[in-house]
Amino acid sequence: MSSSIYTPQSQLDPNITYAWRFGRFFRLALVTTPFTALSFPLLMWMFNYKVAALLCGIYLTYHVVWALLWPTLEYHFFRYDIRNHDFLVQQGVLFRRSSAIPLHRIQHIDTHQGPIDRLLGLSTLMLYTASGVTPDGIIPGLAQEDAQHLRDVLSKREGDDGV
Amino acid sequence: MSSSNDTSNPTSGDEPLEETSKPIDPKQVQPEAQQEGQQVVSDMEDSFETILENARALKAKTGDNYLETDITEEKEVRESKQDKEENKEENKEEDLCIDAQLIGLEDLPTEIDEHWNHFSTETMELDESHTTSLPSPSFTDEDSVDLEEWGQLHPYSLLINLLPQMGRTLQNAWPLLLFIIVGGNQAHQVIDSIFVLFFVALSVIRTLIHFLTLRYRVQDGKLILKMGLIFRQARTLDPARIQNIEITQNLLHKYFDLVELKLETAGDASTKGLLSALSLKDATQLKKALQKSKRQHQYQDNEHPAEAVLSLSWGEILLFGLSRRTVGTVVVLSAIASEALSVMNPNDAQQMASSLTLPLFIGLMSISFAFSWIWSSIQATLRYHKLKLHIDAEEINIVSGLITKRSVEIPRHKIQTIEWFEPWLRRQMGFGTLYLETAALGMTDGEVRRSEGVIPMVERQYFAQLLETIAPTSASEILNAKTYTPHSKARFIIVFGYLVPAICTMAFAWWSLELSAVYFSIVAVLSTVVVLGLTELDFQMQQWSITPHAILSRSGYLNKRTWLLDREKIQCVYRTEDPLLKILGLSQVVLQVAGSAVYLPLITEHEAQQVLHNLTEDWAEVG
Repeated sequence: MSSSIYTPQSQLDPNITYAWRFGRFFRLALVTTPFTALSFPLLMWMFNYKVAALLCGIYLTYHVVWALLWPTLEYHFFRYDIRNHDFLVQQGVLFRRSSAIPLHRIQHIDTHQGPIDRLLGLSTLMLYTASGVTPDGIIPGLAQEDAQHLRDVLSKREGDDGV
Repeated sequence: MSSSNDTSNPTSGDEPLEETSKPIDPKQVQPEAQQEGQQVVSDMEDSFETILENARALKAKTGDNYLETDITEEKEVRESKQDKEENKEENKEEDLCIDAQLIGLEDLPTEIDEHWNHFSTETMELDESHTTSLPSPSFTDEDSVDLEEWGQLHPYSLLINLLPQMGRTLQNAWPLLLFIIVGGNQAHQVIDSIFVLFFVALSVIRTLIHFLTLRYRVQDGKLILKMGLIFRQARTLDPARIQNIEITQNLLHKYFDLVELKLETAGDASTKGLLSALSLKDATQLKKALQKSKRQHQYQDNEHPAEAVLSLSWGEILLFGLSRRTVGTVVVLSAIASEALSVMNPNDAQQMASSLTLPLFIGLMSISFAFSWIWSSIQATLRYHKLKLHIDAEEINIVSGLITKRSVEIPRHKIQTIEWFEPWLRRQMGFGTLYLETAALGMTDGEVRRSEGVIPMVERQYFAQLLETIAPTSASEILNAKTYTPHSKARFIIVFGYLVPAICTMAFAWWSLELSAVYFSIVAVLSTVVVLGLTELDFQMQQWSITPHAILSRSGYLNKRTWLLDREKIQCVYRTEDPLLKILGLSQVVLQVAGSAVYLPLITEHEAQQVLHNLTEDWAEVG
């Protein structure tokens, strides 16, 4: 029965880690650090010096790890592949998710590009089926030409939408 | 729209108006459509000439270029938003002009009205015949199902719509109204009543605009709805996309012999509240036109209604009402009531609590139970009185209702999932509820919108038979298929679902009832037993099964639910593992269909992989 379970192999463009890092450091500098600085005296007043230090330390560490280490891990664990009938994505470090989208059910495809993405020449591809309003498959870091090529290839497919 | 259509369209809004009277370039017309197309185009040029002449004559009479813009207005509105901005004033006048005649307002310049009426219908027909005739030769088809005329609501809709419209207005403005009601004193009452009057007036105006501006027609086999005065919108509905057709008739409707027609599609583009008052004749005509155009390719004669497959007796509906309200509702309500009382008036609460004996308590509880049961029975009777289910080759039809009559038609192939719901009490009676979910299920205005396909009480032994009537291939397979149980470690996850409310209850008991340590430990032991027991029962109930055409998933002890879905309806599948599931080696498989998702019980990661693999094999065959 367990003849050939296919696991996707293709990886994202390595540059995506820089895009993620940049975004998260940006957030760290503008939101997290000021918030911690403000809440530290409050916590000190509510509890004591030790508790405040502990809570703020955990909060900051979490965000630094999220910004520094996590992009590499996420990049490592993100695998996708397009076979001739479906689209496979495996993602997540702690919260794993692997999904399969049949190509004949794809309703429309978006490519999205933020300012940093444009700088790095990346593009995000989003696949939508009829199941809901949120995209069912997101590939965040693809080289721009690849994304466009994929979009063109996928959007040529036709099929019954099952609705 | 095809390109041949665009290039040969003489009335397309991009081109200047004068262009239309020139003979069109034959090279631009596609060869196969050329002959016929030219014929039609020349016909239309004639009629267009007469319109232009009329326009010129009238222009000379009125002495302004008011009508010059009118002719193209219809297309301009659709095609350019900038023009829309400029034409806004004119549009408003025109709409009122056309409709003034219908409601008998005579004091508007009628001559212009008549001409405008003439033009607007002429130009529209021109437009329509053009788009239909050129690409396809079905222009002179006698079986054409299009409703040529623009239909509108029945004038009594003014009466019928007023209350719902007012409700909607109030819904939008409730904080203000609350403020008025709560914060009012003598001096402010005049202002308050002005506000209230303002809201009433707003509702009246909205109802009036709705009636005056809503127009519908079936064109090219598609329903087109136009509405709006300042912000005009046109909505096109493809009959093949309609998930269900609902016809309702409440008391007011019945008095005037009208019905409301509701067409639901996937997404939120339903016609809810739009076709709110049509005469019975118009509604059936429209419904027929839609159904016919939908079936044009595989037309089957289903004029004769199928026999009732199932009809509910009054007793069954009563049982449904009785088994609907759970014990939980009463408990929660009485807890809230007692809390509220003790907060608002501690002395009285103390007195009442001390005078509360056991028989009195039981009496009070049974009264509240009886009340809640009667209430839900009344609700159930209103909704499901004389429910009849018909099934034919194409459609499932459910008719029910005591005061508001409701008839729902669901095309069989639109059903995405079938849910068989057996709450504990109903299960003991030997019944269950059947939900036929279509893609119309989804979130609208933050509320879960369920399909209207509900059969409230179905006997358990009849369920299999009914299922085979509704979904023949998948049902016979899945009902005889081997079912699998979730992995035994799934208990660890199920227990969490019961643990959280149990801990909350215990915390509440600790905090509010001030139990002694002995009593508290008894409560703790008891709730642990209950939680573990329910977990085990729940686990025993969970099952899943997969066959070449269908998938089944079952869960829940207190509220047992069984989902069935056709494998062809799956939009995408995924499995997730969070850290806890990862430690247990389990995986959650989710099957997404249009509008909803079906969760399988927790199985091992390997099994999950197998399921996903199995399903992707399906698609390889399709693709």
